[in-house]
Amino acid sequence: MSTLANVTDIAIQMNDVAKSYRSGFLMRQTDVVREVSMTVPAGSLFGYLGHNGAGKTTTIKMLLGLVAPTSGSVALFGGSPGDLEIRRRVGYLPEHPYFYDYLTASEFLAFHGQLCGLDPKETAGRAAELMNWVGLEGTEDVRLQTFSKGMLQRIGLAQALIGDPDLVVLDEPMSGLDPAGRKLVRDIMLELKRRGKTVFFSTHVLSDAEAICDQVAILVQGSIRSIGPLSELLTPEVTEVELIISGLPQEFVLPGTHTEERDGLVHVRVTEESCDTDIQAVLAAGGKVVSVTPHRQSLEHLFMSELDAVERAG
Amino acid sequence: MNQILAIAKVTYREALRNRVMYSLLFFMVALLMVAAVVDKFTVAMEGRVVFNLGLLGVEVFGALIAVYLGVSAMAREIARRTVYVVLAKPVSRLGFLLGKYVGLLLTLALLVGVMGSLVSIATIMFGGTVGTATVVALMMIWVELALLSAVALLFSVVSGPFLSGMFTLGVFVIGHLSKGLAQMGANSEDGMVHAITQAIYYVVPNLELFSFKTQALYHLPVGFGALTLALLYAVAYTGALLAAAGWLFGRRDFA
Repeated sequence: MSTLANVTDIAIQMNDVAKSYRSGFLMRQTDVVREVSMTVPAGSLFGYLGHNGAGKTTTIKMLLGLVAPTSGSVALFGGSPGDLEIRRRVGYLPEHPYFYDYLTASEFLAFHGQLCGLDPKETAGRAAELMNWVGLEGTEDVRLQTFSKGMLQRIGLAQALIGDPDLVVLDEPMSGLDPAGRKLVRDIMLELKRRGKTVFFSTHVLSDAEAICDQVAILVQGSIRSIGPLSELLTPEVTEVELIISGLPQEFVLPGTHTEERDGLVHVRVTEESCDTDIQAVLAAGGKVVSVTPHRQSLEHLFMSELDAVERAG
Repeated sequence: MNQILAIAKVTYREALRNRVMYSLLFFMVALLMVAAVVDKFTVAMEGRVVFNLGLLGVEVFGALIAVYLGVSAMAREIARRTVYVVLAKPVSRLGFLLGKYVGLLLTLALLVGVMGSLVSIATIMFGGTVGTATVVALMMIWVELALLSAVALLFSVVSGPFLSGMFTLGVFVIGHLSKGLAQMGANSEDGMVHAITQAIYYVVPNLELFSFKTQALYHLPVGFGALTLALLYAVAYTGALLAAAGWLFGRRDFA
């Protein structure tokens, strides 16, 4: 267990971090990450969002010291990711994890416990608790080579947590998991936050992030387009109202967006301002309003609008 | 230190699962059988052919395994990305490299021990004798393989597995010829040839220093000076190779 005195207020601080590679015969430069800056408060659950190839994994590798930034600075709890004392406080699950598959689950966790500097007794206790937590109890003596993709993801999560880290960095932790597995990982992340840990995870599944994150950063083509608490990024006002209408004459056209017909019902999205007028027009035309659902801005809307903005500019 | 030992243990276990090692052990047994036939039809050899060819087999097959395991130890970690989770833990890159190296040393010790025992048993069966000099010769083969696997680790940090394997095998061959080449170069009238052979002699490790097979074969006393010199040379050379490998590995990006 880390002492409270060791915990600074900021878990991750990145200032103007960039990474570029040179490749090919002409050594052409590719900018993978461009001047990313972010501050992740200790104890928060931070979602790092972006489409495939946006630069999420490279950012995470720079956080862990696996990749050196071309420019800029990275600090974890105020120290360098290369500092072993700092890394003692960090747990990491890579995307599509590969492990020593000839080890059994308990040997694997014992190995990682040893790497974290735990004594065998402490490791055994932690391993038993984690195997139970990630839903792998009863598979302690099974070799990892027989594990399914979802089981590997779970044991990977267990190895990330074996050293009881203050900061848990998870790269696409829901990848390869069935719905029950996804819920389990979400619950684990929430429990880690409840225990005062910082969780930084990347995903391109926006519903996961929206459900549990305190803060998010949206990465598009290597640059952060939006960053902050969800409550600040997403406008609380109603942006659209969805009307479901029946019995509407075919010639009647409602000036809304995203109109479609399903099971004999017309689904139409209108603005909040025109909603009352539209309902009256429907009723006057002999139709019946079955349901009225207000829609607020979702993370998906925000993400898509940022993506569209970059594509239009590019 | 515990972390280095943990990595060494995993490396050792992985090496023991490698079928290439068992294939070469099979070839070692086949070589001993051929040597036994030759020995039987040669007058008054008393197991010397078995012993001589056997020790040569230990060295050559050992070198092939040292190159293969040395190169694949790092290449597999990087290619399969198993290295990511290990290096994200509080483990220094040099510590990881040393762990891999200690694992290789343990594997090679086991291998030389097994092959050396086979040779000794076969020699005794054919009327020969083995003594302290045999143990020294086998130990020095292990020291040579230890140096060679450090070469393989260094190459595999900066290059792909195929090139690393070729370069390390090149070092093994040239390392046994470098002294002779330097002597030939010294007698050459061409200044360039002289300079090149001298450069090879000083850059490539002189692996002939570790050869104590003649003493073992004829039960000659092993010179303390020669043994100490060879050991100091191996420690210094291996230390320099591992330091260079650690320095390069510390600067590597795992993209």
